[in-house]
Amino acid sequence: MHRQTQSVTNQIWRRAWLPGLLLVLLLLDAGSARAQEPAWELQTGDVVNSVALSADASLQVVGSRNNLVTALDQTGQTRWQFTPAGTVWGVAVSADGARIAVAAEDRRVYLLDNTGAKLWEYPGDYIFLDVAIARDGSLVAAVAEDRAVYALDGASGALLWRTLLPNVADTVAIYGAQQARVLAGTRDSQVHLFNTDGSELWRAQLQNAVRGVAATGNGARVVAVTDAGNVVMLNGATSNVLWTQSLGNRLRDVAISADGTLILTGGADSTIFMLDGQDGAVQQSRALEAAIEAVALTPDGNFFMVGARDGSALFAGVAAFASTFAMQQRTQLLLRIAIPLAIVLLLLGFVFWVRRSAAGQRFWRVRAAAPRATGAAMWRHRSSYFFLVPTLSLLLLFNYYPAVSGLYHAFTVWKPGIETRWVGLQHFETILHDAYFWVGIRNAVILVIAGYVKVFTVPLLVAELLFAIRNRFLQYGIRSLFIIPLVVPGVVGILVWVNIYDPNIGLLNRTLIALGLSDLTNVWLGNANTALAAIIGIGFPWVSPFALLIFYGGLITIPQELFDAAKVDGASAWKRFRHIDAPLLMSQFRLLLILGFIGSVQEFQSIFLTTGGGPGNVTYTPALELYYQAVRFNNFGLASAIGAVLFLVILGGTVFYMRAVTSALEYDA
Amino acid sequence: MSAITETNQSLPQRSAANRWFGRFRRHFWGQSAIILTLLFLLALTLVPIVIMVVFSLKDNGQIYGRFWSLPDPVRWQNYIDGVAVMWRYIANTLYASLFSTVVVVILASLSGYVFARHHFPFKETIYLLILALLMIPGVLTLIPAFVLVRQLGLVDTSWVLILPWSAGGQVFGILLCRSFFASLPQELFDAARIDGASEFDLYSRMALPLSWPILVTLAIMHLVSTYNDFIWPLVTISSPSRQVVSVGLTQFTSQYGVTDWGPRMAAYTIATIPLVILFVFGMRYYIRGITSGAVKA
Repeated sequence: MHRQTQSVTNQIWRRAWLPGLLLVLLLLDAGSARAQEPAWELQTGDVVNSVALSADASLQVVGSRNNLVTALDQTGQTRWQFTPAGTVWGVAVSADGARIAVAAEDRRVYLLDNTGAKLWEYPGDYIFLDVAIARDGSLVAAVAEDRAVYALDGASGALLWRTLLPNVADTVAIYGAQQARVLAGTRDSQVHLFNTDGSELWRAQLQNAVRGVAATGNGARVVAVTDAGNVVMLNGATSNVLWTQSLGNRLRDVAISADGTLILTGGADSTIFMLDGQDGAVQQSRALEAAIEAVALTPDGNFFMVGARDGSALFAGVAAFASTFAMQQRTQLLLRIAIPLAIVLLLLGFVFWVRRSAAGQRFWRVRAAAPRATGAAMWRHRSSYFFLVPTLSLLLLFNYYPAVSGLYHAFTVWKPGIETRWVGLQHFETILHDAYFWVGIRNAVILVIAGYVKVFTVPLLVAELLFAIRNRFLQYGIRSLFIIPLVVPGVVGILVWVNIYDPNIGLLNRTLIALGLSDLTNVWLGNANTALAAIIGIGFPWVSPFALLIFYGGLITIPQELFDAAKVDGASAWKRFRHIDAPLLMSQFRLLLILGFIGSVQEFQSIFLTTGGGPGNVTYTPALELYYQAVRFNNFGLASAIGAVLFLVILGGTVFYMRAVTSALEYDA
Repeated sequence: MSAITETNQSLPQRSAANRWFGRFRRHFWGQSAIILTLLFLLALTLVPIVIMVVFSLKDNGQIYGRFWSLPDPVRWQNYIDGVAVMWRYIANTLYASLFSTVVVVILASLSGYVFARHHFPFKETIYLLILALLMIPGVLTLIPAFVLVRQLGLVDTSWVLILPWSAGGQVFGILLCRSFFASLPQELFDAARIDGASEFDLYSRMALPLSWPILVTLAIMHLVSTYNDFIWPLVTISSPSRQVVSVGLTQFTSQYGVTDWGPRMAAYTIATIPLVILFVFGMRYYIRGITSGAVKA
């Protein structure tokens, strides 16, 4: 036995060397591959307010606060500089790099050619905050502090049209060439789209001040970033919101590739983000040294520029940036594997080392005997464990891991793929002061009680009545008919009830009218006074097939002798129920109490499909609030905290019912 | 009344029919009251189903104008419209549901067998850990599970339904299968083992064939619960072409606007058909699952 274990350990040790060696090599490899530096970096000496690129990235323009427009070529050599009389707020370059538009604090819009010579300037009465130019240079658009959008002719600099917005716009963009359209994003959270002639095509209301807008080449997608750190993707045709991605901190600018697949943005937290245009998923992010003020991207999505508050502007290829990022990710993953593996190797080495000494061998023989016996037994039964591997791995991945993850992330600000920051009990405090959550709790209590009333009245009565039918055939037939509603999917059941509550063609109102009670008709789900009652009323007369089957199944297992004895004693129906049925159905009662509690506390579907929590917030439930926090506001941490609170409530309730309700049949169960 | 029965009993040649008739008369009024009450409740219970089917054959004019009348003329076009939208949802749902059902039946029976018939260290600990999952509510795991599948790149594929459904459905299945396998006589397995059957043979050739009623029960319960699942597909599936029935129905609603009730009700009716077919064949297995398995849980 001893020699056998020794040889096993030796084998393990020998085998452990190979992966260990491979690991070291991989780590060396990761370390030696140096992070790719940007193609160039420029120090302007003051805050970079705006950056722009030509389509082939051969011309790069940087506008900074020290009244400087700097044009560079691909190698980072300065080609020329241009100095307006004030801070440069916006720069824009036509696709071929032949025209450069500049918006400056000196209340002028300038148009320059590719040598930096001024072609024309447009004098305004207010400071210009941003500028955009059409692909072919035919149209220049600017926004100014007078709340107006200016459209200027690219050739002459003549004012084509000027439109007042409800509030100051900080950002402007143009898409298209011949039929160029102008986008403006305002401080009161709106994005406006104007046609070539200056007529407004649509406006979209967002949640926070818009700091950047950009559009794809054909305008099919419009992306906007806000002060609250949200990236919002709009359908360019309809202005519908397609998705929202929350990146946390204030965002300052955004750029999108011509095909809409890649989005580049950055802001106050000094991080540059690359997002997938399809769903807003963060593909890459990287921290820079200072807050980001401006971003630019070539239409093909191959090159980008970033301007920062510390006066630096950097230019790089997206692919090089991506590979650096992938390298970082790989190193992280390796470390995550390498550290536990190193610990295991160390432990193995320690065991091996201890066993070489005489004292260690004695220890091994005497004190390690019990664990070794268990280990040997486990090894003997390895086939049993082997059969459990698929089950356990699925459960670990999709059930245990999310549960632990949820409890952990309840204490964090959780932005998957971006950051996970420990905030302690902050979310629980937020919940304590959240009006929606408390309305939800109140409603959950009402739903729990109403659920109990629904389950313990009609289904129990029906079960007793069924049980009292003497004809077996009739009993079976009627029971089967009561179970028919099982074939209706839950969603369908609720949606049909939405129709029944419909104010115009709903069965309820029509019945009231037919009975001459038209005074009682109501917008059942839309009226704050009746909405919750209407939701509770769904399923009237509440013969839940599930509860019915449970009760009925319990009744038919009660020994007939007990009923016979009751009959001999002349017990009334009520007495029989109280003294025989109820005590013997106690385990069924307990089951329904627990399941009803769990179901009602988590109630989501029936609310979501009927009122969505409204009108106002009168029908909110905690689960609905959890869903909205996660899906609408991307507050995964807060949503996890709500989940954790509900978990504790459910756990407490279940344990309470387990203890409080004991069955008369418990002894033989 | 009792006097008459007495007389009947005293007659020497009383037939079985007579006896039945006597009992029937004695209980007639009570039984009638019970049956009438039940039929009344039954009628109320079935009202939504009747509404659904009747509306599904009407057009808007008939619904608004002649609310109480039966469909005339019957509008079958609603079903043609409904099928055009619903078939894809139903196909998606059935694919994911059936796939995960097969996985659940195989894995739950295998694990249930191991827990019932094998003896190995930490068996009860592992079993309790699995049962503990019954205590973990969906609200706790919903968001982390969503983040997980997004990180795994499963969002908006059929795997995002199949894998978590397969994982979650096993817990109840293991419970059901373990108690069933534990009730099989040990002699059966001893005899097979003496005849040289391997461990896997014992499972696949002995336990599985004996347990098909419980496996059918498990399969039907799992199919029904996945078919009805709403919040998970709502969160994880975004493409209309990959959507499942329960969520697709709500999108169908918005697609047709608020007013077109006929095609909507037809779609609802179509959505119930798979469950109708399932219950025609498996109602008694489903009821067995509820009455035996659930109470033990």
